[in-house]
Amino acid sequence: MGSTTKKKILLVDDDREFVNLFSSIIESEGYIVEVAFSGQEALDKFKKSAFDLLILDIKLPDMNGDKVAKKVRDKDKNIVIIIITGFPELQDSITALDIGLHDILLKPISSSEILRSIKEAFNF
Amino acid sequence: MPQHSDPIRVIRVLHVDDDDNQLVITRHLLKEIDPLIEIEFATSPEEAIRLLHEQTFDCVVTDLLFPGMDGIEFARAVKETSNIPFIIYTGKQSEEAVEAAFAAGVDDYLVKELDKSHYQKLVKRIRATTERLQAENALRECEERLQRQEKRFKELLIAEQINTAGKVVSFLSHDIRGALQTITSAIDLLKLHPEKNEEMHNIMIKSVKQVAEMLEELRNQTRVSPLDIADIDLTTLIRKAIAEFVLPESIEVESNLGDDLNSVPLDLVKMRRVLNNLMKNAVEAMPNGGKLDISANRINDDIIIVFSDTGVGIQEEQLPSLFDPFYTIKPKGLGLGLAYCKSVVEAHKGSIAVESEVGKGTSFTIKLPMRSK
Repeated sequence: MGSTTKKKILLVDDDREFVNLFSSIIESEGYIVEVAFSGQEALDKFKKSAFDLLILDIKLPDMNGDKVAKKVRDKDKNIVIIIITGFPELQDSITALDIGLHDILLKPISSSEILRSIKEAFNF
Repeated sequence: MPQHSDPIRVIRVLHVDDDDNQLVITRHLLKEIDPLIEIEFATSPEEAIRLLHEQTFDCVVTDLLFPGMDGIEFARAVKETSNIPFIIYTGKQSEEAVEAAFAAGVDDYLVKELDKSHYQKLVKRIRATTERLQAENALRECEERLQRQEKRFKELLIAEQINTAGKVVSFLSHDIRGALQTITSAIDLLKLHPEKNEEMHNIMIKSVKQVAEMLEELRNQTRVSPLDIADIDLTTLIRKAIAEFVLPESIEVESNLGDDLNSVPLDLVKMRRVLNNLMKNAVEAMPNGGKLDISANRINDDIIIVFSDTGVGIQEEQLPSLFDPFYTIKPKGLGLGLAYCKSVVEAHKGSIAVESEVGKGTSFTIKLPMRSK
């Protein structure tokens, strides 16, 4: 990869247990991970600092993930967005969003899947 | 709108006879007897068939003998495509002719007579056949409408059942995927950090249990069965529900149970599940500890049960949907618990209500009538 600066990732999901586990997995590859448990919290974090990649659950308690993704995309043309979801039936409508998603992953997602997807994103 | 059920409507009769005099007499006398009868003439079945194509009639009255097509052939031709009342009105009477006429589908057969009172009979026959047809038509229309509505109702019912089943599957599979996700990540982490063995083990066991609980919840809370009402000691029921619930140490439960609750008509099994659901919700609403107050009192002919917690509270805009099936504000849950509570309480002819303030707590109030019948 050759990049000297560590990539910053924001992980957003309302399932705290999952967020804790998943962030540890991603951190193990040397990325910096921050977490948010709601759409608003994610947008607030995004306002305060810049991220290279956003991993976003589509079903959040306060607003849908697609809304969060759109707002983020409006402000940052370069950020990589990966959607994660437990609703396979939503995949088509997510694909149709047309906001330059890097990947849509269906839960359960293994560590190799998410890490491969992140690696691909930064190799472009 | 169809008008054939209107009793004061004009009856349009097509009278077919090759005797002009007969036609004039009929028109004159019939109109005199019944002003609502309107007569149109044809002097041959061929002409009559043409008129029937062009206009609408309520009844055909025809002679039997014509130079061309006879009355019976005429009847057969008309009855093939229409159920218009058809009366043979002729001077000829023979058993064969009558039989042939009825076989051709005519509705009535009347032999001409010369006295004026005879025309009263003809009018009566015209009215009787047309009214019978009107009644039959109206009945058929009702039946058809009923059948259409039954069909539509069945379609809607099936669509609704499929829709509900689809929702159940969608929400359940989402939550199971969530649990599988946690287990998958725990397994992955175990490989990265073998020293976290104990922690990951607990997380995995918890997730597996969650799935089992979800399946159990789905099974219990979607099972609709009639109430099994008996006079139950509500005090004992509530005390037992509290005693059997595994409470976190940080949560205190206080009960305040009034007198004369020893014989409340209710379904024991279902109401126990309602109380358990409310306790579970209250405990989950107090992740950092708190207090749950449970009170039950008889007020006139009602039993009022209140569950009041000091939990995180529920946002105002979430309250209206709170009892809807599949609505949930918990990260994990199918959203069936409160919907179940509502349906059980309402089956008892009671009601359930919620009040909440964010940061202060939530209280659920159940009202049950002492007489559930």
